[in-house]
Amino acid sequence: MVLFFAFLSSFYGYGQAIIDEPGRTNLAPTTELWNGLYLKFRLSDKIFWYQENHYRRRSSTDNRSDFVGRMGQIYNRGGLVYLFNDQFEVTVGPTLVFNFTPDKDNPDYLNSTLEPRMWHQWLFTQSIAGIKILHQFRFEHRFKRDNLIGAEYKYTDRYRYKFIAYIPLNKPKMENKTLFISPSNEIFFQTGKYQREIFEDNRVYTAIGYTYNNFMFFGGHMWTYGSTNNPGVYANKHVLRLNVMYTLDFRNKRRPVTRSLPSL
Amino acid sequence: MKTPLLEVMKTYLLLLFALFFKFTAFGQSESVYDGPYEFKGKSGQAIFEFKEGKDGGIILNGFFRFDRTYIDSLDQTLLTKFQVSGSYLNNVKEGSWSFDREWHKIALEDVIDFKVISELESEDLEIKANYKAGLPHGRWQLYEHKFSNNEKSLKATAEKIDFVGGVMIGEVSYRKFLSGYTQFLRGKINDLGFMDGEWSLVYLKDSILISEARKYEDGFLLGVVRRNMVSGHRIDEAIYYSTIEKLNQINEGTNEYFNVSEKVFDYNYNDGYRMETIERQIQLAGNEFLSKFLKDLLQFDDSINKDGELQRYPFYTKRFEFDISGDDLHLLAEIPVLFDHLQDSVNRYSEMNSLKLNRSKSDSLAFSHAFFSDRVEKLDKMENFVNLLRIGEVIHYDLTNYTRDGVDFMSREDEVSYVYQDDTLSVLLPRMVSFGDSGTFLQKLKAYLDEELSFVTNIANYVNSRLFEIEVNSRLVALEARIVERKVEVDSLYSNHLAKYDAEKSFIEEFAINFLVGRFDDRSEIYASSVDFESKFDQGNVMLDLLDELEKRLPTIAILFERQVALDELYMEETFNPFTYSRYDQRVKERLFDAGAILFQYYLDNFKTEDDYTQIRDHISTIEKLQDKMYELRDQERRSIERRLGRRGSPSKLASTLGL
Repeated sequence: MVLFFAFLSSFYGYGQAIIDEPGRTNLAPTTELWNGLYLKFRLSDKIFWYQENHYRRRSSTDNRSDFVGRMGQIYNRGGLVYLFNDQFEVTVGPTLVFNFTPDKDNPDYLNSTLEPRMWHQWLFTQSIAGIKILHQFRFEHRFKRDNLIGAEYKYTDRYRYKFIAYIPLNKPKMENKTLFISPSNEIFFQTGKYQREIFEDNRVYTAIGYTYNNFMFFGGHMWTYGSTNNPGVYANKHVLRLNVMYTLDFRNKRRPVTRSLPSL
Repeated sequence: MKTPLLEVMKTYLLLLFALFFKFTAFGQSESVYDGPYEFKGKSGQAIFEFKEGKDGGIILNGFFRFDRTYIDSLDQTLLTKFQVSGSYLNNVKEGSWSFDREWHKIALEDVIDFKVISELESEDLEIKANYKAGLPHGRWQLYEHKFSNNEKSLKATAEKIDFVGGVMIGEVSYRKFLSGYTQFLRGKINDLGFMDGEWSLVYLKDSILISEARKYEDGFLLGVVRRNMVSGHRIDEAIYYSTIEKLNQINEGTNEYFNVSEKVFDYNYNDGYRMETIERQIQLAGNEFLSKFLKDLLQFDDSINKDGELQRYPFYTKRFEFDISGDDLHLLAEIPVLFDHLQDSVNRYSEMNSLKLNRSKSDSLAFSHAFFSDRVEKLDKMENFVNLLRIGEVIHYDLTNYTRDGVDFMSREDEVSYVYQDDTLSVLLPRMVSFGDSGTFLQKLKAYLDEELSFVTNIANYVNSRLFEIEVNSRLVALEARIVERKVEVDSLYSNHLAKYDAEKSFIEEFAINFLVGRFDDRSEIYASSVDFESKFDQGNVMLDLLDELEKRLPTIAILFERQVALDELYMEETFNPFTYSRYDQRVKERLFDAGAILFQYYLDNFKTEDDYTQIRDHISTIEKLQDKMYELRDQERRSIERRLGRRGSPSKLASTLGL
C-alpha cells in the first residue's frame, strides 16, 4: 500500500502543497477512503431497486495522507431501475448525502449538512470480446449548502458521464467467480446560478474486483481532479475505494427442472 | 279217396311250409347276410347264414359263400377272382370247403366281326378242404393250373392229403412244376401225426435240382442225404447217430437220464445240435420246401397267421427229454439272470459314446472299446442257448450233441483285437475257465459267465475312472480356455472404453486395475492351488462370474458419471448480473450440491477399493440413489436441509441429512 502510494505520488506530485500553473492553482492532493455498499434487487423481469450506501472518510487537515482523519460523507442513493434489455436501462430516484464538517473543532461549522438530490440515469452496455463496457449518463439535481452555520442551499444540475470497462482476467467473459480489472473515468459538469465553471470533476478509477455468486467485490484507486469553490483553484484527491455489490432476485419463480437424469 | 294230385300238392305244401319255416322258424335264430365282407384280408361280397350270440355278436352258422372279383386299378388287363364256399357250425368251419383263386391277364389283340380276339394268361389255384370242428379233417386236395398260349397245364398238385383233427396222417404227396422241373415231396405221417419212414424231396435250390432222402422213425430223424438230381453226385449226408443210439437205449431199456418227450415238435428236427452243424444245416433247404407246400395248402386255413407264417403244424417230429441233475437245477434260473446282467453291462459300454469317442486316447481305452464290442458278439452267440434255459427247452437238448464240436463262446483262447494308432494289436485274456474243464456243461457255463462278468466288471471300472478323468480334464481344459477367452474380451472392453469425462476415465482405469488385475489374480491363485476337481471347477466358475459381472456393469458405471454431469448442469441457473450486465450460469443450492458432490466422491472412493465383485451392484445402487435424491431435491424448497448441511460434515451425516 505504501509502495502504491509512493508510486502515485510520483505521478501526481504529492509533497508539494500548491502547484501553480498560469491561470490555474492546483491544491496539494488529499486522500480519502470511500467504502461503498451497492445493492440491486430484482423485483420483476424489468424492474430493479437500486441502492448505494457509502461511508466516506477523508484525510486530516494536518495530514493529507492519512485517508481517514476526518469524517467525509454518508452517502445514500436509491432508485428504481427499468431494464429495457441487457444493453439499456434507466434509473430514477432520490439521493440523500450527509456532508460532515471540515473542522470538527470549529464551532462555525455545522457537524453535518443534508444534501438532497434527485437523479436519473441512462445506462448503455456493450460487449467486446468478453469485455463489458458501460456508458453511464447520470443527471443529478441537487440542493447543497456549505457547513458554515447560516449558509444557504444552492441548487445545481449535474451532468455526469462515466465510461466503465470490466475486463475479465481468469474467465473468457464476465461471469461467476471472475477476477477482473475495471478501469473507468467519470467526468462531471455542473450548471447553476452560482456556478461560474461548468467543469466540476474528473475521476479516473482503476479497480480490481471479483464476482462471487450474488456478490461482487470491487476496489481500487481513484484520482479526482476538479474545480473548487474558488475559481481557478483545483483540487485533486487520491481515493481508495472499497466496495461490495450485492444482488438478489426477488422474482418468485423457480425454473422447473425439465431435464431428467440418464437412466441406468 | 286220395288222388295223386292231392298227394303231390300236399307234399308240395309241406315242402313249402318247411322251406318257409326254415327261413322263419330257424330264422328266429339264424339269418342270412348278403353284402360286403372281408375274408382272409380280401374284400368282396359274401352271403352266409348267421345267428346272434348272447352278447349280440355274429355267429356264423350255416352256408358260407364269398366272392371277390377284382380288376387291377393300374393294369386293367389283370383280373383276379376268389371264391370260397363252405359251411360253418357255431363259428367254426365244418364239412367241405372249396377255395378257388384265379388270376387272369387278358391282352386284347383284335376285334373281328365284333368278336374279341385276345390273349389270355391265367393261373388258378383250387383247394378242396374238409373240416371238423374248425380243424382240417378229411381229405384235402390242391390243384394249381396255369393257362398260357391256349394250353392249360398243371402247376402244382397235392391230391390225397388226409387230416384227422388238424393233423395230417398217412401218405403225403405234393408235386410242383416249375421251370421245366418237377419238384415234389413224398412221405408218410403216422396215425399220431409224426413224420415216419422214408421221405423224399426234390426241390430247386440255388438253381440246382436237389434230391433229398430222409429217414424218420416215429418222429425221429435218423438220416438225410442230398444229391444233385442232375449229376447224381452226393452233396451232403447226415446220420443222426446220437438219435439212433438213444433210441436203441430206449428200446433196450438202458436209457438213463433221458426219455422220449411227450411234447410234439415241428418238422425242424433238433437233437441238441447247434445251428452250424451238418445235422441242422442239411435240413434247411428241404424244410423250406416243406414249409412252402404247407403254406400253399393251408393258406386259407387258420393255421396260417396274417403274416403268412405257420402257427399250427400239421405234423410233427419228436425229441428226447433229458433230466437235469439236482446240482444243476438252480442253474436253469441263475444262468439267464447272470447272462442278462452281463449283457446289460456289455451293451451299455459298447454303446457308450464317450468310450467310443475317447478310445484313441490310450492303448487301454482302445482295448476296452474293442473288448466290449467283442463281448457283444460273444454274448449273441450265447444268447440262443441261454434262451433255451429261459424257456425250459434245454431239457430237449442233448448237450452232448450241443457241445460235440466244442463251444466257441467258451474257448480258453480269448483274444481281443483292436486298433490303436494305426497298429493292430491284440490281447489274450487270462481265462481260467473254459469248456474243457470238468463238470457239467451248465456248471461250466455258469463258471464261464462268472469269469466273464469279472472281466467285464474290472474293465468297466477302469473305463469309468478313465472316462471320468478325461471328462474332468476336458471340462477343466474347456473351462480354462473359456476363462482366458473371456479375460481377453473383458480386458479389451475396458481398455477400449471411450470415457466422455476425465473423472470417468480415471475411475474406470482404477476400477479395472482393482478387479481385472488384482481380484482376478487373487482368484487365479486360488484356482491354481485347488487340488480336487470340484473346487477347481467352482473357482473357475467364480472367475467367469467375476468377468461377466465386470462386463455387465461397465456401461452402468459410465452412465453414473454422465448422470453426475447432468446433475452439475441441473444445479446451475442462468443469472443476470445487474452490475456487470452479463448473463452466466451460476450454482444454485450450492451447499446441497456440494454435499452431493462430496458424497458422490466418497462413494466412488469406497467403490474403488471394493474387494468383493459381488458388491459392485450395491455400490452402483448407492450412487444411483444419491443421484436420484439430488435430482429430487433440486426443485424442492428444502432450505432446512441446506441449513443443516455443513461443508465439513462426515459422509454419513451428509447422507443422513439428505435422507439417504
